[in-house]
Amino acid sequence: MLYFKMAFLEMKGRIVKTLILFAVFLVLFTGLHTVLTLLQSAEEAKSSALKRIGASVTLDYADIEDVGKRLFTIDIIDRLSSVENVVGVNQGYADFATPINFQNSKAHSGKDPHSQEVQIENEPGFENNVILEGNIRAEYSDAFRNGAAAVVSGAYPTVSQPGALISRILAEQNDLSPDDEIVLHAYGKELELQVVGIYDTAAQFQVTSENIIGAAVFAYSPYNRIYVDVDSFSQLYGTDSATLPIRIYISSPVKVQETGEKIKSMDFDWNVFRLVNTTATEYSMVANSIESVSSLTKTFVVLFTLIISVVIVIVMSIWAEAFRYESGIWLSMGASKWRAILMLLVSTIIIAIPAVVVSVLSSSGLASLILRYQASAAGNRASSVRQFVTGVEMDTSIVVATLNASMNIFFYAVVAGSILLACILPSYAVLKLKPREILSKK
Amino acid sequence: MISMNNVCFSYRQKRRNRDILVDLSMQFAPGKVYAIYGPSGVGKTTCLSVLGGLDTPTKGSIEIDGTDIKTIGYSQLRKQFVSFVFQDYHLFPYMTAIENVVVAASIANKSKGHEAKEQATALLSSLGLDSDTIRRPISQISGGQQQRTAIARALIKNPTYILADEPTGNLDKENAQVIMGILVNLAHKQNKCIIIATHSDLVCAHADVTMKMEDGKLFVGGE
Repeated sequence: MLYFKMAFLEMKGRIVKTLILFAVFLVLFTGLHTVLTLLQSAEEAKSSALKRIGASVTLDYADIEDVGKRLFTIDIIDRLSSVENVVGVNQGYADFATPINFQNSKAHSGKDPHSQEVQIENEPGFENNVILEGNIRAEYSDAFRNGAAAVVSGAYPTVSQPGALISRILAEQNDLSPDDEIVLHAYGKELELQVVGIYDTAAQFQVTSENIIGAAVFAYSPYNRIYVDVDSFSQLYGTDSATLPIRIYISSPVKVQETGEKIKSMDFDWNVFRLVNTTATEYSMVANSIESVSSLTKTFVVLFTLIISVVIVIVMSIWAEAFRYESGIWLSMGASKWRAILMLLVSTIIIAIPAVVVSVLSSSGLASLILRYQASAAGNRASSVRQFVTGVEMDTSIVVATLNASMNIFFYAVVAGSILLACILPSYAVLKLKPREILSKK
Repeated sequence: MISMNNVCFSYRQKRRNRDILVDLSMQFAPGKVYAIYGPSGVGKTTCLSVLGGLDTPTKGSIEIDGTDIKTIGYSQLRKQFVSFVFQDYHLFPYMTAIENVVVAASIANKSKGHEAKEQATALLSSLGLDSDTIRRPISQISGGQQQRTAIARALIKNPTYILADEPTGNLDKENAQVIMGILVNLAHKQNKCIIIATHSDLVCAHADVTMKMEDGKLFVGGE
């Protein structure tokens, strides 16, 4: 009780010191908590982006002149499939096609694609297109793998069960069901395909002034993506599984590097092949803003921790002499040195607690403001990249997160360290000197 | 009875030992005012500090009623048996007079809360401080009033021994008379042992026993 009473008397009596120390704690703790919140938010955005990108590497041609050569054999695929942490292998390719006996979906939200603002040129030939995606294993294609789409009727097209997997919206609009036939045209050829399945997608096709991609805009709609087996795809485009790069899916983004090394150690002719870390490449394409926030905040965490230490030492050294003198009075009255130091600790904690509370409450708002500023500075494109491959928006904007356990432990450790640091300097002389020496050094 | 038995105190200065107290033996009994006088730097304050456990003797022992103060513990000694009154008062500047006294009671675990406040008020009042003065911050009361507050703070834990270092050093003659009157009263009416380090003839005139400090030793001047 005495400690609290004394602390309050001291705080009241030394109101200027109390306010200055409170202000120092408030600024430093708020800064640190905000920076940690930003770091946590960036880490979560990164983890979320990586999850959506998926973990994969791609076995591609080393030499561009080899593109189109029939290099990728079943043996290679089988060997890659057996590597540890590899969860699946796919070869896929996508290109435009024009529907003959049905129409693409023009369903969209957002802006009018033909408005002055969006300025899509009206070129009928392209405007009615769809995208045809050929896969050895369609279930590994991006939209199905990351959960944006799911088969609701029928099955995935395969070499043994060739055909087309179309979207529910496209099916409903054209009154198509499994076993119906669709006809597509591309590069002067026509292809008849049986509908083998219907999928539903969570993605919405939103037209904005940022995602103008010319006249083919509707082809990129997630409703107009048609998945076919790789043999059917080859009939239109002349590409088959032996010429398509192999995408190798790995169990977790953290195992991409390790698995990539294992694949590189295999006895493939690395003069002919090269391995591309697709996860890293795609992440680097979409996550500039995340990385800039992440690296900046890491620097600031170190900087803030150092600043906290230096500022507190400077601020407390101003009151070190006053505390030493007061400790002498305590000691003359019968208090022990530790009791005198404990009183300083209690008063410092009492000043620090409201500073911590305010910093915790205000940091998410501050972090949000900084992210908004950062997003506007980086431009909207940097924070939100539309991934047209899947039609699913690859949103890389950073949402303010709450600190996880380890970040909280770090924050409160710095707070505790700051409080201790604030007490160590004034306490040093008290511990070192005899009571008489303390009193005589007024 | 507090007694010094062959007490020596020295410290290192410029690679040489400087002896302040040399084989000092003396006894101080309750009910008397002792004045230790002598020129500055002779060791009067050191003598009080060693007696009150603010410093430790290089050699020898100090006993209270036959018990070595090391056994009692220096903090415990200052908490229970000994109180100090300083020339500079050494009061908490941001507290009022009554708060300074109440805090000392809390430290000594003598009384708490309302009881401590009542005792402090009574004590301060008995020393001539009115209810308005005791509620003013220390910085807003006179030197004499501050010294009376310091005496009240020393008395709140009811110690047997009060060690006063130049208690009238910062006071005018009138206030010095008042303070000495209070200290003499404490010795004679409340059976306290008052040991005063001083330069002042006035203090010596009020003392029951005067002792001259010279060459690290105490010489009793008269009783």
